[in-house]
Amino acid sequence: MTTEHAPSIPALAISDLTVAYHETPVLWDISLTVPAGSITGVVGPNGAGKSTLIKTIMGIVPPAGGEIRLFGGLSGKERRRVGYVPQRASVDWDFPATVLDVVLMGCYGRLGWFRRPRRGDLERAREALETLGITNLEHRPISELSGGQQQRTFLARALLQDADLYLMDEPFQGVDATTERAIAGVMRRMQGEGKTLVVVHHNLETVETYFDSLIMLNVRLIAQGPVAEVFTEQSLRATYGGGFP
Amino acid sequence: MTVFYNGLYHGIYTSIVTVIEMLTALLMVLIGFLPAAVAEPFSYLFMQRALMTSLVVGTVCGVLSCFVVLKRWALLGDAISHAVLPGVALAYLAGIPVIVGAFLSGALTSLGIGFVQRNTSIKEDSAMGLMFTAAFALGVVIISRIATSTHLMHVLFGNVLGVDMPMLATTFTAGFIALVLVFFFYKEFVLYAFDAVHASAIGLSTTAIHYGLMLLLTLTIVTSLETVGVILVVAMLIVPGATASLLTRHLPSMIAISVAVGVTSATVGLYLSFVMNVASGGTIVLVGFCLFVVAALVAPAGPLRSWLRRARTAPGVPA
Ligand SMILES: Nc1ncnc2c1ncn2[C@@H]1O[C@H](COP(=O)(O)OP(=O)(O)OP(=O)(O)O)[C@@H](O)[C@H]1O
Ligand SMILES: [Mg+2]
Repeated sequence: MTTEHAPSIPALAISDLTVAYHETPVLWDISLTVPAGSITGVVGPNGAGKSTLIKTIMGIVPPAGGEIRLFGGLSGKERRRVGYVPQRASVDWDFPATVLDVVLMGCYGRLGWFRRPRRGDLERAREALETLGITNLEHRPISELSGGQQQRTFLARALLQDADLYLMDEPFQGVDATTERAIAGVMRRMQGEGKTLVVVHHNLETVETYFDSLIMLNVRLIAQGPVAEVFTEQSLRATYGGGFP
Repeated sequence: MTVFYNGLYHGIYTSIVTVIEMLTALLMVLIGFLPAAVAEPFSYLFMQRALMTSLVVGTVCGVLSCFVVLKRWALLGDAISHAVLPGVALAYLAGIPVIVGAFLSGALTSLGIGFVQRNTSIKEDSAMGLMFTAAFALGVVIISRIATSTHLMHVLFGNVLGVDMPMLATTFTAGFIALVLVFFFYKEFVLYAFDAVHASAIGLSTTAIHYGLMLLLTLTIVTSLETVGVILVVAMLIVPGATASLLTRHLPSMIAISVAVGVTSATVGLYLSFVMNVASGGTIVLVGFCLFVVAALVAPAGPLRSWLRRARTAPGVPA
């Protein structure tokens, strides 16, 4: 199997996507493409539908209409090549598991039913812990982690998943400057390995530092493209409304 | 053909009984080491069967209890346990094994809960309350048509002292199946309990895991029917796991402690109910509850430890 693709095939192509939990759509007529090998930011105010967009791509929330192509394919098969890093608050951190247990969950998809992680998986999990700088936390119960350590654990799990496209929901939320630098470093490293990253982000000051390409969202798509082209005051005002200074 | 199936059934039954008898003999050797006063009640055959049943129920409930507590399924456990009643009553009328009817009606109700939840705007807890009270009511109505209700009293409140060999064989088989299933699907169940979204993101069918776990819960409840009964079984599904979760943050240890609590409450409860001549189901649950209270007091976050800590760090007597 090869992970190489003709550069013309985008990692993600969405056309006319509409999503509604109840009657009112929370995403309306979204069409966008994410170039393979890019780090793409997703910005927009609270409730803009950023998490919903990611969950719809993952098949967790069913769309009301539209089409999602992953690596050019429409079937659920390509979803195996997509890794998902959820918002930190989405799981119960009181669960009786160690950091290593959680990281190993990253390889469960590859293992399939019945099979248990083996020595090779364990080695890869330790490598991922090292990459994220949390080797010393290997046997720590997850209930005793700080917010930044939780985020690093989630990222280590994602590394183990060995996906080609990663969807990350606010990986920088509530972490300190050191952790933020560490996470940004890991992202760049993943990009260097040919991965595509889609990252939901809140801090507008760091958009230009972290991302090549940007999706600006507020129920409807406001703008998308290279950061240098779309990250303008006009599109910011359109995304964040009158509240934006 | 019928002859063949009867023969097959008989063969399987006989081998299960042989296994049970061997295990019982082994257990009796161990009991021989206990003081005579404690060991004496177990010289009765019905007490030996009751002890075996308690061990199976304590173990299976102990394991499942961890998943119930972690997945916050206490209410679901309660729902399914009530929902087995119409199946029990109908099976009794039709003359088929009670355990089969119980499993079918429990399973049907769990599917019904899922259906209401998916296809209406009703929330999960209301969907459960709706379905299980309806099933329980149906059970009550059917029972009121049955004259001799002593047997059904035993289904409601359990009567481990009255377990006969066919019942023990069924409990044993159901319990064994439940444990084997947990063993094979352990990874999936743990992942589903911790992060269901991740499970579906990596391509595991969460619907399959969800209903699988529900059916397993039903199987466990059915296993425990003869021991603690419909009304109290939910205690066996909550108390061991809740007690264990107070004491450890490590899942394998949690399961081990939970099994220990389940087995201890079932066997000690059985013994006490015999010597004090009181209801077995209630005694078992009360022993479990006492274990929980002790664990809550001595737990790392419990009042005893924090009192000790405060005593130690309190300003000392001036030198
Ligand atoms: N499970 C749900 N059921 C019903 N409505 C929901 C659900 N999840 C989200 N919504 C609604 O959909 C809209 C978009 O929510 P979403 O979580 O996608 O926003 P977001 O952009 O990720 O916001 P934030 O920045 O706060 O994380 C919101 O109006 C929210 O109330
Ligand atoms: Mg969000």
